[in-house]
Amino acid sequence: MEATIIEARGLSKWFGEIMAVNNLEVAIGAGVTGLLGPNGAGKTTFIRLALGLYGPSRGYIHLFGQPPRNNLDVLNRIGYCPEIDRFYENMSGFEFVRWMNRLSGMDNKTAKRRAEEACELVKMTARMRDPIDTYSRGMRQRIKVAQALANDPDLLFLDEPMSGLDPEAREDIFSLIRHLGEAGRTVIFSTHVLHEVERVTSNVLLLHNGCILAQGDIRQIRGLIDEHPHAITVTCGDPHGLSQQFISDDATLSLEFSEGAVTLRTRDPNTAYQHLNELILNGAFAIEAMTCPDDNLQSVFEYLIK
Amino acid sequence: MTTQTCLSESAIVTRDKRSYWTFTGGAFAHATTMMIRHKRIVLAALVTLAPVIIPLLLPLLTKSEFSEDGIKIFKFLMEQIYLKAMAPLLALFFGCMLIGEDIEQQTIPYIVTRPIPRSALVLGRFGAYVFMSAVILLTSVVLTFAACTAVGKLEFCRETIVLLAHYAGVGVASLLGYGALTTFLGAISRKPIIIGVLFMFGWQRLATIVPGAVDFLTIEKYLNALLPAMATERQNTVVKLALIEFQKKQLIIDASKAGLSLLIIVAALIVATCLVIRYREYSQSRTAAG
Amino acid sequence: MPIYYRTYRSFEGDVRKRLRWWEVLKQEFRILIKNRTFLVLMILGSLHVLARVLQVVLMSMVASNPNNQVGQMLKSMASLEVFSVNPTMFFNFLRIQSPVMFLTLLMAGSGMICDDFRNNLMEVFFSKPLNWLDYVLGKLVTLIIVGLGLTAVPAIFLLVLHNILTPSLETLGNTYWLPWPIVLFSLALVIPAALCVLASSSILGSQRYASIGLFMVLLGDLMLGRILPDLLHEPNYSVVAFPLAINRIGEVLFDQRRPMFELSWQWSALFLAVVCALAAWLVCTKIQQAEVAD
Repeated sequence: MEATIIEARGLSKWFGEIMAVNNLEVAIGAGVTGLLGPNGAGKTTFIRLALGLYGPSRGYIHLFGQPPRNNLDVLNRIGYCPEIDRFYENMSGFEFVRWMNRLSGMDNKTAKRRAEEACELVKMTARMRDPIDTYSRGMRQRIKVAQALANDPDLLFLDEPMSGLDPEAREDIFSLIRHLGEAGRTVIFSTHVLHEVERVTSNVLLLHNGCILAQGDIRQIRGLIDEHPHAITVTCGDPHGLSQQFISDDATLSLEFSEGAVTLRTRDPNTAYQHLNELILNGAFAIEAMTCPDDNLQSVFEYLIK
Repeated sequence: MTTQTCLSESAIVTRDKRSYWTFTGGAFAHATTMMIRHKRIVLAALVTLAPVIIPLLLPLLTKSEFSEDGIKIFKFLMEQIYLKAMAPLLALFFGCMLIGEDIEQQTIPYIVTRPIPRSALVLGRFGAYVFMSAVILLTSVVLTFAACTAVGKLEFCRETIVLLAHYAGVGVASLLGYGALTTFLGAISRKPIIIGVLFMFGWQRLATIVPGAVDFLTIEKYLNALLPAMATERQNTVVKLALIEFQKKQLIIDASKAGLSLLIIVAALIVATCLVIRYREYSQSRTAAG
Repeated sequence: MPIYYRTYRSFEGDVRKRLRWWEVLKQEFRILIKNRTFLVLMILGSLHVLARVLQVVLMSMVASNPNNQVGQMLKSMASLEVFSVNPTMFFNFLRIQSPVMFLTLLMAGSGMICDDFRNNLMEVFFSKPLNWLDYVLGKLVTLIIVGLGLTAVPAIFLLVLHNILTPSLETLGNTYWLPWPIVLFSLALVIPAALCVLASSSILGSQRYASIGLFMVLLGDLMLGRILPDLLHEPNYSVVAFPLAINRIGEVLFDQRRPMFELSWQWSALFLAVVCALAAWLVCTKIQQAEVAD
């Protein structure tokens, strides 16, 4: 399998005066990648450029080393689950997937068999013969995923796949995405709910105002943000006494006290953690708990988009 | 939780080159099924079948000294109703929505992200339109013929059957011509029906009035040339308008040239439709309507 | 306010007693004014009005200065019946304006109800202090105003212009009765069109199919009304064509001496009433079904 599945150089797209995607330089390999950003960041535009639904205004984007627009060889290897909740009228879920298979060039028999298997994959076998109008939002989402998977794609685009789902359905989709990644497929899924990404992958691409803010492993990104102080909250019996241990450090930026806890902001988290470990071993301050409130995507993102 | 993430080995179809005609057949079958499923096809069929009652009513309503010749009635119905009205209406009804419906209901992303050649998609859908509309139109034409022979004064003989076949052929040709136009309009425009109505019932009427060869820029000109000889013997039509009346000399085109020209027009419009689908960018927010 | 287990239900506070449909009307106009195609069609409809304004102005110049150079030039034109400003002119103006009016109403109204169904807006409407009648009236009155804006309003304007520009009061004496036929005939043109457009929109699920479906029925009917008189050699069968039936009413209102057919205007009025009643029944039934019940 190719090392780089999706490659974009100088990729830009504007609609009139609105710059939707601004000079993106991206290389995405195999596995699951989360495409993050607030509403209007350019996630859907990027996906549509990758699918060939739009042509770039500048630059290029390649999938499997080829431009995707009107390229049937590339389209043959990808699956797309759009954000929109639209289907053909007067159809069951099974029929919808079957007709999409027919339009992918399968004969009737193969299309039916693949539709059944895809519906089974997304746990829709029991309801697949019912009209789509009778489905809940989660079921409709699953049918969309089923039609994306039915052609056995190497690369899968999921645009806001968790949108409108209940927790159980979300869990199923999370699990499916994880296993697809483990099976060697490339999955790109977009979301603006940050904790969803962390459930599934650590590999992210952050977009904001059409630009890439960061790309890579969440923690590596976090680590690279040296200027942003790292916060550590320590719950102990003597927060003021504990704070004395750090107050003279050059790396310490601030100390905030709350009931039974102190939040230390430091530029050098490694040294701070080492020091805390020594204090725990000494048993000097009866440290009860230690948390890192911003060692997550939310804080990374909030910092980056400021 | 174990999850099956791959389709079974036996089910995995190697992605070799799939036949072009498999794609076309899939598009044809899909479009035909969609047309049949919708109740609105009943409306189209009812309206198209309505002219059948005319030859049935005529014997009841006609005063015998003024009764028309059966063949004249049949010819009149074919030319004035089926070819001038029903065929364009069926083209507007079905043709505008061949591509336009996917745009309107925002299912177009499913289509254009499928590895289906755009020409196969257009040809398959166009074929479905021709098939469905021809079934409806020709059923009505045949029933009208049957009504004319049964209760009208139309003789059931070889000549009249040949006449029926001739008109049926021209009917299919008109479906092809108007259908290609409306399919193109549906793909390129957000208001294909208004443009289609203005062209078919506005421009085509106007072009027959304007002196010169302007009427060559209509589809009706070529269809009229395909009609049975008795219909095209008129070279100087009397044009009656709301205000004035005048005679206009018609430039006649040969039937074979007309047929060829029509085929070229249909082919050009289908190719143009394929190009539009290939190069157009379909945004989720911009849906077409009307 | 109670929230029901399925969805939000009817408003239970104090409601405005009158003119609730006015809000629906305002909303529809806000949408229409932003629609480019609608504005283009309104402009197209205005071209005929401009031509008639020119006619009225020129004819009044003839009347006021028959002996000057322009007057002499126009006198020969004025002698032609077709250029005279008389009741026939107003009747022809409304008659010729009706296809553009119908097309505009079709464009404006074919999506009014089906798009609300499609986008699940019925629940939004009926969770406000509105009932089905307010909804229907709001949509209907919107279309009637648009229709009258292309028919009665410019016709009355032409009438007023004609009376202002011609020097003698004799003109007023000859035309004082015209506003009544103008308004009545315009209503006869606009109300059935508006009701049929809304009926088609409520039955068919898509704006495109609603517009083409109605157009099919109308054209089929018109064809029938043109063919039957030719085949049966009996002009009265023209009444089968709905537009020609309405025209008959106009001929009576404007006292036209050469009607298209001689059949009594009561048949036309009956036809019009049946079509309006049927269309209104279809619309009201559909909307009542959609209204969320308590």
